Amino acid sequence: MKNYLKRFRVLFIILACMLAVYGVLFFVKGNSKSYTRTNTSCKTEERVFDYGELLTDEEEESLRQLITQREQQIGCDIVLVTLNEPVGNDMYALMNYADDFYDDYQFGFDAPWGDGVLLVDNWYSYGDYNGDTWMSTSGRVEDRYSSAMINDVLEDVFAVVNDNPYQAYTRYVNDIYEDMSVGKFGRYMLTGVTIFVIAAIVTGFYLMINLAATKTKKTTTAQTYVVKGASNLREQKDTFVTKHVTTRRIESSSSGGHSGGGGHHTSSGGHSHGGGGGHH
Amino acid sequence: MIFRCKNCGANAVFSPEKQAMYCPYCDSIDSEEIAAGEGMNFCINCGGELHAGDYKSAVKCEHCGSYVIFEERTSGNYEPHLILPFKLGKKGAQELIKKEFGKKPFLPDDFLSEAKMSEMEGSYVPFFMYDYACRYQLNAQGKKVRTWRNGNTEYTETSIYDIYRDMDVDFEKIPVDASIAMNDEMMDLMEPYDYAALADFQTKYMSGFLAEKNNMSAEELETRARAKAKKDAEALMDETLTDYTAVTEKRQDLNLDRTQTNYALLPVWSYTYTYKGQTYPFYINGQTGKMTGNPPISKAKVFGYVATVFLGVLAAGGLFNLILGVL
Repeated sequence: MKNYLKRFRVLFIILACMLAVYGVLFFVKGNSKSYTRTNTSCKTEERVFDYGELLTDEEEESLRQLITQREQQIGCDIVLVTLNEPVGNDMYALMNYADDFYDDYQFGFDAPWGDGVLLVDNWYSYGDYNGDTWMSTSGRVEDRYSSAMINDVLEDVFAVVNDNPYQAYTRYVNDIYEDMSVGKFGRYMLTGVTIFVIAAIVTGFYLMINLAATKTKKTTTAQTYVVKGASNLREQKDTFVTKHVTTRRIESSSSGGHSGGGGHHTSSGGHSHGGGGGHH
Repeated sequence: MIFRCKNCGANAVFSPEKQAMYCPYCDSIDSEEIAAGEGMNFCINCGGELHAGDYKSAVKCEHCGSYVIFEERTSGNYEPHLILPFKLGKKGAQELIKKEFGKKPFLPDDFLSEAKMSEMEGSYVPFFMYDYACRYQLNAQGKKVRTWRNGNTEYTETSIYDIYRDMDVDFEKIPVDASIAMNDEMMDLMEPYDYAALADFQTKYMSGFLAEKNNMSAEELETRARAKAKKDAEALMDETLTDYTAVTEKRQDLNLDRTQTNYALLPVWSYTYTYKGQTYPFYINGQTGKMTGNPPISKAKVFGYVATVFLGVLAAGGLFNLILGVL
């Protein structure tokens, strides 16, 4: 046991230090994290715009309370808009609607058009589905959310929205809270799979290095047992016989590539938004 | 026979560190005198029974710890021409093993324990050393390939040569161990020894160590010596052919004429470790300290340590995420 602790003392010290750092940070920042709203230009205090009449008054009030609490915890506006009206038969129309809604009210926790997110859920159906949904992100939320993360939130919403819209919108608010409560360095967090792969690679190297047998090398050479000065080339002849030359044409090759773009765009009001949407 | 200290009567031994006869009891130097033995069955010092076996020429008495040398196996036909006295002492050999394996994580706990290491013994291993006059004639075809490029065309020129070489080379003291108990491959890996320290045989160098007489004759072992000489001669010949891209041998005539054979004792420290019924031998050159041998692996340690590293990295990754989340 003593040898075991001695052998892994560096690992244990690193883990202990990381645990201590986390403990101190959690004590100092984790418990007391609360943001103060600094956007004084926002044109409304409302966050739940149930134009589609999908929620009861109690549900609306409950959502408002939840949003108020979450906004202070993460420092981002969280807005919900439900509709049941035609806004255009494609996702871009809904995207523009969401972006304009956000811009017109000058949402943003820190400043107008600043940190925040808005979910538009339109129950007006253009096809074999119940409605369209778009999630518009701005400021820190736009920075934090990749397309995959937006899809995750929408998947959570779509899983229950047809049966229980209130539950779906609660999920939306809580998902935003969970993703944004990881702080400004959250984007650098490692996924579970990445950590597992790193652990497997490190362990593999550890095993390989320590299991490699130290094979004794042969340290004699061809000269080791030759009597000094007793190696003599009596005769050496190299007679040229023939030669031939072959040729080969070298084919030139070229390569090319293409670059892709990101998921960000600028709204008609000139403000940057991210986002994504789908049907339910 | 044993070597006795004139001053205290204890067993005087050859000290590799002091390069002199030494009494470990009264610290006297070169105070030895020979006490002749009577056969190989009983210890001259205590009368205890000895186990000489078929080949042992020096043993350690199990009863009194004296090192007994058998005149019957170190004189006459069995008298070595040369001996290479130990230069590396027991402590030095133990330190080398600890240095080599001390940081290996998967060894059994008692592999480097004082109790196990104290069982290490120095042995003089019997060797025959062969001298050869070698003549090597070679006829071969050599190929030189040159490639260059001009525009979009690559040119490859292949030139063919007839090669003839006639080489003389003299080999001196190619060693081959004459002990059945010693693994040939491991004994080969003990080489090279520094022959400048070879001395004419004297039994006093054997006191303090185990030893064997040759188990086989020089003639029986010569095949190995010839193979070594042939391999070295071929390597020397290859050094004259480095200008060629490829060489195809047509005819070679390699003659090895044995000119002399010496019977010698060379110093080797042995450490034998037994783990789960299997024996793991380690040998250390008693002159240069070169070591060979592969230690056993404790599967329990492999599993435990690997699990620790894997879970440790997982935990570090998790803590890394937690810290980022709070920042």
